[in-house]
Amino acid sequence: MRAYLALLRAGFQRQTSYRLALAAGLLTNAFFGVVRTAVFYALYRERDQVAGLDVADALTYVWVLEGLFAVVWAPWFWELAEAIRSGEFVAELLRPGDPYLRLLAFDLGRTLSVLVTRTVPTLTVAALLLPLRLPATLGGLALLGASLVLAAVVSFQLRFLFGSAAFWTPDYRSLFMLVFPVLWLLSGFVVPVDFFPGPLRALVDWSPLIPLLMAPVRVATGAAGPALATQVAWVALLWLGGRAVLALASRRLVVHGG
Amino acid sequence: MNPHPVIEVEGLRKRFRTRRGPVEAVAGIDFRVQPGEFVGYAGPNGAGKSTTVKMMSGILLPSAGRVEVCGMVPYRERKRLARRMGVVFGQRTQLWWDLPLEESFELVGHLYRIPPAERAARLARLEEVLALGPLLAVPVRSLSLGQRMRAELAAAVLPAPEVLFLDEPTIGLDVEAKAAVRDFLRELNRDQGTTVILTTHDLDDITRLCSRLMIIDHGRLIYDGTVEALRTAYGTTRVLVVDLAEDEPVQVQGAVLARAEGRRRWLEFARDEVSAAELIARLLAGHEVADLTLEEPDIEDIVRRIYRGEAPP
Ligand SMILES: Nc1ncnc2c1ncn2[C@@H]1O[C@H](COP(=O)(O)OP(=O)(O)O)[C@@H](O)[C@H]1O
Ligand SMILES: [Mg+2]
Repeated sequence: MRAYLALLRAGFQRQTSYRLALAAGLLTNAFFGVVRTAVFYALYRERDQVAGLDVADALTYVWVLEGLFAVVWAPWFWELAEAIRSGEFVAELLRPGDPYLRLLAFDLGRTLSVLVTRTVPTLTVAALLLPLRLPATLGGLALLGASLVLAAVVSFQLRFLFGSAAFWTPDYRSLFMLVFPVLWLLSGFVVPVDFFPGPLRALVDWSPLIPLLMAPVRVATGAAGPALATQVAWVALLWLGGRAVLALASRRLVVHGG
Repeated sequence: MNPHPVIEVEGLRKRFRTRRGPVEAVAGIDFRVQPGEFVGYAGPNGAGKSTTVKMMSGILLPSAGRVEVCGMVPYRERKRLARRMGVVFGQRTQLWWDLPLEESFELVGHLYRIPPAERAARLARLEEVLALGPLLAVPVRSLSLGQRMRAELAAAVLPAPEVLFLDEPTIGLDVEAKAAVRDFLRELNRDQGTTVILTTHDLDDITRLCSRLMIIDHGRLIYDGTVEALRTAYGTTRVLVVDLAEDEPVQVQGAVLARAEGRRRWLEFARDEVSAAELIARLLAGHEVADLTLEEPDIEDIVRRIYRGEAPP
């Protein structure tokens, strides 16, 4: 357990040491956040609600999106795949303990750093300047915090699966690029999933993309219970899936040579 | 008498399927390694050295045969074995690329559950022997190859493994870095009794470090014994270098004059035809000698001849 905590801390420190990247990231989030805010204000000029969301919900969505952007689409997205291709991943098989937990701990350390240095400041400033709908109680804020951390965990679990493609093909990036636009749209990074036509929305609500962005948005805007439950369920499912894939991949590596 | 061997390999094989058909990388090898041995594992490129090391460290499944390390079947008990075994691959890093070296060591300490006081004590020693002090705050990616290899070695031995596998640890290193690595390994083996298997195609590593040499070629062990015995078995010609008291022609029965320079003569003779003692006696009978030395055959030469199939196995 201490080993995994040490990895978490190392990941956190590693990510926090990139000051310039942090400044650039905050600026990017601010810029796109302002653009999106303007777009949604325009959308809501003529009406009070769109697909059940009012303007406060929409603005909350915008700034949670900006805050989580670098967590979900982590800049180190392909590091695992690259380590697999270069053969360096084998080091993970030569260490005692659990490789999946080790990777999760280190990655979570990094995403927690992003949550602390980017997500929280971005949301705080936005909440001070704009009418967002954020929890007003300490308990509510704690639930939002938990939801953001769960989003980070699911983000790792999904990135792990995409990176694992490198065990089977050197062309893992092309494979991902094929599905990327769909993932981007369906996870709610263009418009809230609530805006989708009924059947599509119902389908997406049952997908592992919900925990990434829409669940934290829903926790922030008031529907905490079901959203958190969805996140926890997906963490558990992806945990099993990720470990199964890792077991298959290790088996393959050990048979065919790294 | 013999303690239980640290490594037991029996009929070990690995066959890879490639686009150009199957490749028998390791074609049935047998050996045992006792605790505290320092074994050099040599062979030309593609001979099967890395494949053997991978099977012994549990990251490669044998196609046939048996391998046991510390009484465990490596690929089946990899995680348990990991606590008792260190592995360094020359071309791959096992440190955390983006973290300062110091933090990598700290993580190794946690992963291997080394008590903090003990970790600090061992690290202090390693830092001194491997001159790591100035590197501790540097991220691994910024280290030079020689610096990184020293760091890899330190990380690999920090958990005090019983057995250490090194796959080409001196590849690409300059003379100074090579010397540092060799000194460190010699001391480790002598003082800690760590069993070391050193894969290399640099025979200098082996003659300077190893009590035992194994040579693999085309997946087969073609030599397993001491460096001395290899010289005896394959190095048929030895050279007696003589400094004569006076510049005079020399003729000794059983030896051929290979070279002459001033009063120095190089006399070549076959090991199985005449002993050095006998030759010296004959020489002293007819000449006054100021000094003499015996040159054993160059191990590089012998091994090169073995690879080329010139020396009979
Ligand atoms: N994963 C692999 N797939 C196919 N062939 C391999 C693989 N690994 C090694 N080989 C082949 O097996 C032989 C032995 O390789 P290796 O053990 O790396 O040799 P060495 O380390 O002695 O240079 C070579 O012919 C090499 O091309
Ligand atoms: Mg090799």
